[in-house]
Amino acid sequence: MSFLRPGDHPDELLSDSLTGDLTDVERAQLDAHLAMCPACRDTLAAFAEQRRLVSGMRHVPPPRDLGPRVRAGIDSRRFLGPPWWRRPRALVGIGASLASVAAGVLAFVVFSNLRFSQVAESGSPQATSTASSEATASLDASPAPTASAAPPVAADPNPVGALVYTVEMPEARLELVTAQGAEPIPVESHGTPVDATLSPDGDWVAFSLFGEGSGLVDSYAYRISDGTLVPLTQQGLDSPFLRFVWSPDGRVLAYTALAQDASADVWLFYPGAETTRQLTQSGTAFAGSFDGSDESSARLWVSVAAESNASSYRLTVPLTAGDWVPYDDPSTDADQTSDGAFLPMLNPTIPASQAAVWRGEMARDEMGWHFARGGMLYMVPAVDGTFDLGGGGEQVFSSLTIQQNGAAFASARFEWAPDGDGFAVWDTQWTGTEEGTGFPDPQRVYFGHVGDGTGELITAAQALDAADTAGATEVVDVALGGGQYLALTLRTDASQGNEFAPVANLVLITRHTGATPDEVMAYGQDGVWNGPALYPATLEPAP
Amino acid sequence: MLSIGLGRVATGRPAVSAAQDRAIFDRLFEEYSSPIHNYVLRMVGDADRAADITQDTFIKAYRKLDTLTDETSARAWLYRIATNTAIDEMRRRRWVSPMGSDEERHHERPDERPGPEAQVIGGMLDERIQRALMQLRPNHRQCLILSDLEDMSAQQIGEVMGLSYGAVRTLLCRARGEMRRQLTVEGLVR
Repeated sequence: MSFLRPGDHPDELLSDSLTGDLTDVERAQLDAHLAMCPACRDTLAAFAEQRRLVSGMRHVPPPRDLGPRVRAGIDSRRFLGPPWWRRPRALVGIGASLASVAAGVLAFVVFSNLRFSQVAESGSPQATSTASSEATASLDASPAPTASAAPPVAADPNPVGALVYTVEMPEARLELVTAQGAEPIPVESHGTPVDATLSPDGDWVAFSLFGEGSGLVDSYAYRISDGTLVPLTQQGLDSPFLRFVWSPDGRVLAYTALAQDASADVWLFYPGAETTRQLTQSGTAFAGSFDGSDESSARLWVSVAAESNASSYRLTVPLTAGDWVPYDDPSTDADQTSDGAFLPMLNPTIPASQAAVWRGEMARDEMGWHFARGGMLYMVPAVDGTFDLGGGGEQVFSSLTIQQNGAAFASARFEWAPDGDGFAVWDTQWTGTEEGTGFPDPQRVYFGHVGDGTGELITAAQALDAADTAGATEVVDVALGGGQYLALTLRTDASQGNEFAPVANLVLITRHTGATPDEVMAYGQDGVWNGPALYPATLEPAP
Repeated sequence: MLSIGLGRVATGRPAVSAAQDRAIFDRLFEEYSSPIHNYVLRMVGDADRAADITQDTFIKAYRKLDTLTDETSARAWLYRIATNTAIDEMRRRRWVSPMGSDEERHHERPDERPGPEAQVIGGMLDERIQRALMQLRPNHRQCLILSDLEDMSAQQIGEVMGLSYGAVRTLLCRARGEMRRQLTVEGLVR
């Protein structure tokens, strides 16, 4: 509180005065106010008395057998009383998964038996008829397409799965929901799922949970076929620059661990060995994208954040887990270097034809890295198989300009569609003057196409209809299905203040341009956390 | 060559041996098991549940030792684990027996307050304060206990709860206002 107006009762200052959390100015303001306000003197006396009462509560020592109980729990490598999320329900789910392995096929069809219902068209307040979602795509465990394969072209509006977090009697649980049913995922730390990515072979889901109580992020890899769960990070910070990046053949996953001291390093997860390896130990490295692979190795863009300009380095990483010394300086073994480029995000065509990349001056605070001056997202086309990440391309937000004081983007979230053409940008943190009526808007999702022929990538016209996200307090995640299809995870305040049961709606958008409103379908479990959705990492070629 | 153990989780903490882990853990248990238990007890208001939650807290702490980057931050780290464990437990309990819980019964029996003479008996006074605490929303109760019982600063509370300094100050103020109302019901403050 910077000043007190007549009639104000500065309860917050009264509270802070008990713990010494007042500045000198605040103390002077409070003293002056107390001198003339009997009500606040009463409040202060009551606050002081309750602090005295609470602080004087009897200290109750723990039971004498606490130490042996803890030691027994550690030695047995499990909790003495199994935590509720590990009770038989989860085991049943894993058993069912094992049965599916025995069948030798992992083929889960799109959400055809899930309850998607068309809730409204943009501009129409009335619900419309239930939509039919027939299965049209399938996944199997065969290797991903090689470099000689035809580029994926088919698109399907329906995701193949979604995470669902439910808090209901008698427990909270996280599940992977597909057309085959719901598989409980026995995570140790509960929280709302905020990001999820399917491996190219469709067998692994990498996902992140945001701790509602802690505000920290845990991430895991989960094998659908047998329920194997591998922790990837624990108790880390969230950042718009964190990505799960699968190699084209799905043999390695690159990701960034952002520790609570804001140090960032790249790690690799090897599904075949179910193990992780640390790739960097510089404390400033982020996983960008894979850029091709051969039989034994893949090339990974790793970006190093710096107070001035960042740089990106293309490293060769093995496709099988081994022991090595993590890089203190990723530049030492790079076969390509791009000064000034941060977080190259290559589209998923084989080979990649476009790369979105950040440029600008970065800064680090207690929440991690962001752009302090001139932060801008660029789209860079491949020329003769290489990208000029540090200087080429055009701005993704075509009409915005970096302002004289350097104000521009601090950050934004970006996602490619599996067709390699569509992309979405959301959670835009623009520090400059907004254009027109609120562009860019951090509450809106911008959906563009590289090849739409307009000569522009994102302008205000590419925003999804405002009605698409009506009622949402936050766009948590955007998954793209190729073509004109997106699935949004939208947090709402439908929990009515019940902090134990966060709510998110999963809505499936069929994007229309011009005067035609978008079609909006909602996954119909009310009052639970629906999403993020999973689309195949690559799309099957059209038959 | 740096060998990274199978299944290790990505954190900023250097790899250490199991014996070192055990020694660090033993020190933490020695120093914090009693205050953590007391904190949890005031959070949940039940001795058996508090013991179970404290037990789970330290087992989790052992399993997550590689996320503790610096022993000087151990206090906030442990309180955070305890808090999350307690909230998970309360969440489960909330849905299991919302109608028959002690909290509900206490809420419905303000007329059973002991007379003024009983206030001098420490145990009875504790019971009434605890009853008032249990009427608070969990996050209000948590920050009030961390402030007034554990004597943490707003900065330290923020580290435990994952909140900014400003958010803690606001939350604490609201908690004090609510606690004042509950203590008034108990006849302990005006």
